[in-house]
Amino acid sequence: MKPLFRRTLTGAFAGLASSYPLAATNAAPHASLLVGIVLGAAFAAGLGRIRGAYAEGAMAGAALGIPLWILVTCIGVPSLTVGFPPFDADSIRTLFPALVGWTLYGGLLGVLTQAFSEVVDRVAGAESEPAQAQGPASKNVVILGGGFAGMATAAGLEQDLHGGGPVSVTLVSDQNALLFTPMLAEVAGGSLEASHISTPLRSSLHRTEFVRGLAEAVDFERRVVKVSCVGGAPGTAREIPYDHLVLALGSVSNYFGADNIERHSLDFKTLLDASRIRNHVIEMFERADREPDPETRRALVTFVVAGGGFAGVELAGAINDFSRGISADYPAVASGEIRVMLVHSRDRILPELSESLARYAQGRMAARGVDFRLGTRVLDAQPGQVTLSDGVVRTQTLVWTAGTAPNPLLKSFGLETDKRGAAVVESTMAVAGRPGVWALGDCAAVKDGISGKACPPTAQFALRQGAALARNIGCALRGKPLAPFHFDSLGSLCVVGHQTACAEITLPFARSRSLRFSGLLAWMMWRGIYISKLPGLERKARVLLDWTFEIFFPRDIVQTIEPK
Amino acid sequence: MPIPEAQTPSLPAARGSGIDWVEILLAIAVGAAGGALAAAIGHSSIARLGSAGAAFGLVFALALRGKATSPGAGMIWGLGAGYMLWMVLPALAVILHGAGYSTDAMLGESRARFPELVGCITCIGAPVGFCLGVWGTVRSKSAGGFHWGRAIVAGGAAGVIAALIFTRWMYKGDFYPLIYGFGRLESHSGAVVFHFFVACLIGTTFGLLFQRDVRNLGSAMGWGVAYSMFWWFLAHFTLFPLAAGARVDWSSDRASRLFGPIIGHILFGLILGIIYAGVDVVWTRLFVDSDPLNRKRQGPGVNFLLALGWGSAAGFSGGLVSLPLMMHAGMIGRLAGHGAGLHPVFGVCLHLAVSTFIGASYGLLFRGETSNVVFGSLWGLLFGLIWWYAGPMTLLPILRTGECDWTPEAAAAHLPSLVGHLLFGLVTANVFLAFERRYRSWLLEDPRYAALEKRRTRPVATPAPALCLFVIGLGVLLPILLS
Repeated sequence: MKPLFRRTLTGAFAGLASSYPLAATNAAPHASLLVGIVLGAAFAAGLGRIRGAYAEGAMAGAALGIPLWILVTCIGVPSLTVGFPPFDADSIRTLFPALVGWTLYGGLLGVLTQAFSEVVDRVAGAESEPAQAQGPASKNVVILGGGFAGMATAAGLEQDLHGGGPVSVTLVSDQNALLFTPMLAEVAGGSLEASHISTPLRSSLHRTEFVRGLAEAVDFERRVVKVSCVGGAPGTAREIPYDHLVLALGSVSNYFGADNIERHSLDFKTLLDASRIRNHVIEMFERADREPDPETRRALVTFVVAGGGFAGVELAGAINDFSRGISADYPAVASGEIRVMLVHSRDRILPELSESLARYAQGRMAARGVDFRLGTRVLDAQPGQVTLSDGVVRTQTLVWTAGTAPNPLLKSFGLETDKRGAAVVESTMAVAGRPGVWALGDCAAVKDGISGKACPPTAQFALRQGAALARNIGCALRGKPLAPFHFDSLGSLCVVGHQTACAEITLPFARSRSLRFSGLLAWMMWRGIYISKLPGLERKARVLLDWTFEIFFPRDIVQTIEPK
Repeated sequence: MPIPEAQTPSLPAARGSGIDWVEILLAIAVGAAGGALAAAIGHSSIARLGSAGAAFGLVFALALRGKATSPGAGMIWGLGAGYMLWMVLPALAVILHGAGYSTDAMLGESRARFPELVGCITCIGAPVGFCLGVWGTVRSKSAGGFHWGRAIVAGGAAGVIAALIFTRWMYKGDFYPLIYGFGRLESHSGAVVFHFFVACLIGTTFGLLFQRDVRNLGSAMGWGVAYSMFWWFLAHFTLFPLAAGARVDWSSDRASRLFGPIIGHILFGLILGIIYAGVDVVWTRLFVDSDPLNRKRQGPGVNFLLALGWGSAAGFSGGLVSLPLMMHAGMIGRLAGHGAGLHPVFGVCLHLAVSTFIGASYGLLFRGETSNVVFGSLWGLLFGLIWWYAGPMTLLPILRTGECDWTPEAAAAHLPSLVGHLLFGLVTANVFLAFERRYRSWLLEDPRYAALEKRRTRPVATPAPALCLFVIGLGVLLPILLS
């Protein structure tokens, strides 16, 4: 017998046995008995089984008798018989005997529920909860990658498998935190503390086993993943068996084979990259401050950002604000010497946004001091200079955001990839020809289930793909049909400088049309939307505090990473 | 990942394995002596109350053995049991004599038996519980976790601060509810000093008695109210008349005259409990929880924000459900300020906004108090009751007229809205509990954190049910009997 049913039945009998005071003090004795039984059942179900709690039960029951007197005798019965009661002090006083009856009923109910439960325990044996999720898990889901896609899949699986079920989830990632990339430029610009935009995977995922490691190989025949622990000794790789394998490996920077650029530029993908850029900018100012030669000084405070997409534009805006802001602490550096240059191969920045917004962004950034080199390519990079297609720029700083490519591990796994290097998947995100293998996010060529268009490699899509894939894996585990992935973009947001942003919000039910915002309003939308999307209440609070401090205090110029 | 096995909770094992005859004899002796004393003061039958007291002591010692773990816990169990004794015995007599009772006669009889209520509480329930608590502490020799200095300093300071806040309202009218009826004070400054002395005394003894039981701000509020109500019975009915050399009068007529001070005591207890627990919580947060060695899965900030959000949603639900009753009781009109000619819709919006705000305070005060629907409902009812005394009886009149109206007539006028307040508390508590349980079940899925989460919830063996019975029972009974 199920424990809840058993408790309810016991409570009903206890309610019946306790109902005499109710019947004696209320107008309708038979109805009182019925009410007593129902309430007894509810009381026992609500209290649960606590052994030996006679006194607690009696006191709690008696105390609950008082509001029950109000709800049933003072309101319920008159409402059902003669309409809503007049409900004044005199009419309440006339029901005083029933108050005594209810208190007595409650006290008796508390004692008898305990007594009957003890008797039932002796006769039928002690209550036992269903042994849910006991024993070894029979199905293993292994997720490779702890970015938006991997994290959303794990969280979705936890939600979907909530309440037990013989399924274990393991997440393998070389980082122990989820990086909230939309705010990465603010870390590079010194307005946010680095760790505040990262959420520890161990704290966020409650049912998922987290393994900090790198996937070396996948044996699709034996269904195992070979994982080497980060920082572990060679040869200590472990094999993790899987029934379902999720590839959410993300993307890496693509230098298109330009080794010099790769060697002499700063990357902008990870938290460490962002911190390194901030520290590098401060280091350049430190050197420039003691540099007597104007040309060299000018080169030191020249910062080149390659790539005019979201990442490049936001980073250029952030570096521009940061460098011009901290120049007050470096009196030897004139504000006219500072130069932030954005190099982009096309004729306009922000190809993801409409042209009017892109022009607005360019105009605003130019007004704040950003130098644009459109239709220009970065050809080479050497220490102290960057060669562009239209000339040479003397600088110590080149940040590369001009290209990304799916994680090359996919190729080493022997999966079929498209020309970008992304895993070819069906619209359900299942890898064709590899049962139980799924891929999503930046590393997969996911096509929309309705429009058939390729999904862009953005966090917005990765999060939805993760949730959809979790549902599909749940369906696969239960033998149900899978659903193709479909999601219409909600829009795009991009910060271009201090309290200035561009926003393009897609209109619901009119997907071809969008609303465009710019300036302060768009900036407030950016902050509002992204703070709500930032995982974890604690992180939200920390970022809000950072933003508040930023209003009142100058940005910090403490170097936290030793310069190379 | 394995999920921890669900187990039926049990109460902590009672002290010792066999029957403690000393404990039983002590309880019988204290109960009999208390009953006889109550009868002597209340001019009742000594044999009747003396034997009732002895029987009470016997039943109390047997039924609550092992639960009176400290003098404070024993006292709260005693107060609840004392109230039950008064309520149950005559009721049994009425019921067993058949259905031939009349409402007026029963109400009149209850009023006539008011001296017995005072006796049951001050002479039987509280002393028996207190003595068994002292005996339990001595026998188990467990003083671990108790800090005398903290109890005295924090309790005394809380009492004085509560009195200070409280006195701001009372100063204009020269009305000091804590010492109302103490006749020998002629000068105003003397009254002020004596008022603070009594407040400090209540606060200090509160700290000494309940330091182990106070867990959260909300439960501390309940403990404060219960203890302050006990002081109303003890001081106004017995100690002050004795100190003033006057005749001790436990009648319902005198209780009606003391109706204002009972509200004063309830509000004082509320403030006392919150300040005491607040000092305790701040101390714990600053010097204990902040230690990395004591790190919890989530910091207090996250818990605070979660409780705030859940409490707001729960309060809004409570406000919505209690809205029809509040409208019927005329509360919405009063909120909208009919005199100022404001639209009732404004009153509805204001009611929901206030409900949300109060619900948020419930979340902050009562988080982690229980994981059980029955006990959760009790805390909610207690909260609703306290807000009835604090809201329509105190704050609303102060906002409208600048003075609070603590007369039995005002209580009679506001009695219908008490129902709405109780319903509000009930719904708020259960919606909040639903949020809390959902979240906790989430955390409990990981066995590593299950033990930590369980520790944060009040165990079932504390005297919380007795406290709720005492406060809710008297909180509803007194306006009915005395107004």
